[in-house]
Amino acid sequence: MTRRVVVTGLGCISALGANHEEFWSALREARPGIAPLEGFEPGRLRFANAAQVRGFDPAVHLEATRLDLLDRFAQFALVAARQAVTDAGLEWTAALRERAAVICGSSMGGQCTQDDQFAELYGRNRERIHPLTIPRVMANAAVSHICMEYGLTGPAFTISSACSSSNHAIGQALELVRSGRADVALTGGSEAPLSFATLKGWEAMRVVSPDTCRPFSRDRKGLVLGEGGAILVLEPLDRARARGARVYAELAGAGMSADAHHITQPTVAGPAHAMRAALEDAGLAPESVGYINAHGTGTPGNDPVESRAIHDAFGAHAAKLAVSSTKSLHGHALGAAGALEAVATVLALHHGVLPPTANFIVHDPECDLDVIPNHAREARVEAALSNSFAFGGLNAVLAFRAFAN
Amino acid sequence: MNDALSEQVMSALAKVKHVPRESITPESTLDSLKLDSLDKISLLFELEELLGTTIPDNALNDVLIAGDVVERVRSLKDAATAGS
Repeated sequence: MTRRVVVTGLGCISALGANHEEFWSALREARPGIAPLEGFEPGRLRFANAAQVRGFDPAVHLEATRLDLLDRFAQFALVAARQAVTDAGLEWTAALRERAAVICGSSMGGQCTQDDQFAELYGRNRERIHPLTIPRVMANAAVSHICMEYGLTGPAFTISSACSSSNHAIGQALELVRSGRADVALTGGSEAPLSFATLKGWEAMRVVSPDTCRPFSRDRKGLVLGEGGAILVLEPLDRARARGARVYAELAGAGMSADAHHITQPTVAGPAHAMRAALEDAGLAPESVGYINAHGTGTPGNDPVESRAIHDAFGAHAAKLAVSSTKSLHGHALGAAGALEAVATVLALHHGVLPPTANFIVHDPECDLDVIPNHAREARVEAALSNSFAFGGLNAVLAFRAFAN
Repeated sequence: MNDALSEQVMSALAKVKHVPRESITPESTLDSLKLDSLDKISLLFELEELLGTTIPDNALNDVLIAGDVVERVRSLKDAATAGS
């Protein structure tokens, strides 16, 4: 069985806002989520900015007994899932619950909890840590809580592939719905990596910008860390039509590859292979793609390599493609990046507006692409890709097709 | 018995279940408080923190009401004091 799969619901918590509407209006207006990092001792980090989720009070959304069990990363996923289910207008029946998949990505799981609790042991020399540490830290907690929220009993698991986690998850969810093994999927991912130890780890990698994120700009200095979560509702087109659901876009295919090269240095061949695989899986001609939401971290290393990979995969058509990195606005949310960017890509197709690469100053001949500098662009495109490439050389690319309701 | 230890144990129960302290009496059953196995280990953690001692894993296995938790903790505490 092969079914066309469409996106019928979106949920999104990010530095750009509390839902997908706020996320989209910030992307469209190039309103940045990157700001001075709050909540950490000043002077102990070499970078000052992050794309933090602000004004998110979990107690507004979740009762206290439930919150005890939820690290921030799982809070983001659960709240985004609720938004997506409401947005899709899903009505759960016993039969649908049994055939619902929940597949999410997270690179690090409950890192804030782990950091806090380990600080008690190592820093304060205490003898015990909280017994809910393990169930909060485990990377599958978000998926399990979404399942429990709605009583969903179909296939459910978490995928961890660093910065490609969400795209791998969405690709797996596509497979389950397309093949008929699930009739609906809640998929995406979440990450809450802004704990002191994790920030220090990224600092030590020397890939974090001291100021802001300027993808593809010659003066780029690195990535800016972000956090958040996004969930998409996937359904077979026939089911969506039958219930009169609004369709944002079709998830037409996914492509994956491994660089098999180096634990941090990217290759051109691996990402190019994943983009080609996504096009092939989606049955899309390269010329039908009008937009790519790039991995575009803003590091000196990623952007030229990704640019070459796009040229490699698209040939002459690369000159006609619009490519942007919305990480310039919502930061790099690591395991949640693909989910946030899938929402951006789906809404770009839905609204006929391509979000910009913010903070762009100087053209880099090594990144020879139309990067939609600084201002969104009205453009109806037939299809779009969303790229995620991870440390460890694991690449996952999603292919979306515009859908006329 | 209403004493400091009893008050501490009731407060720990209230903290774990996020219910008002006044809603728990020594006669409250752990079932009525919906204290599941995960809550029990959270309660053990709170009690260990409170008493500064180690409580065995199975200490609350057959306890049915809040007052029994107090008495179980009291006997553990007394045993620890006697042994020191």
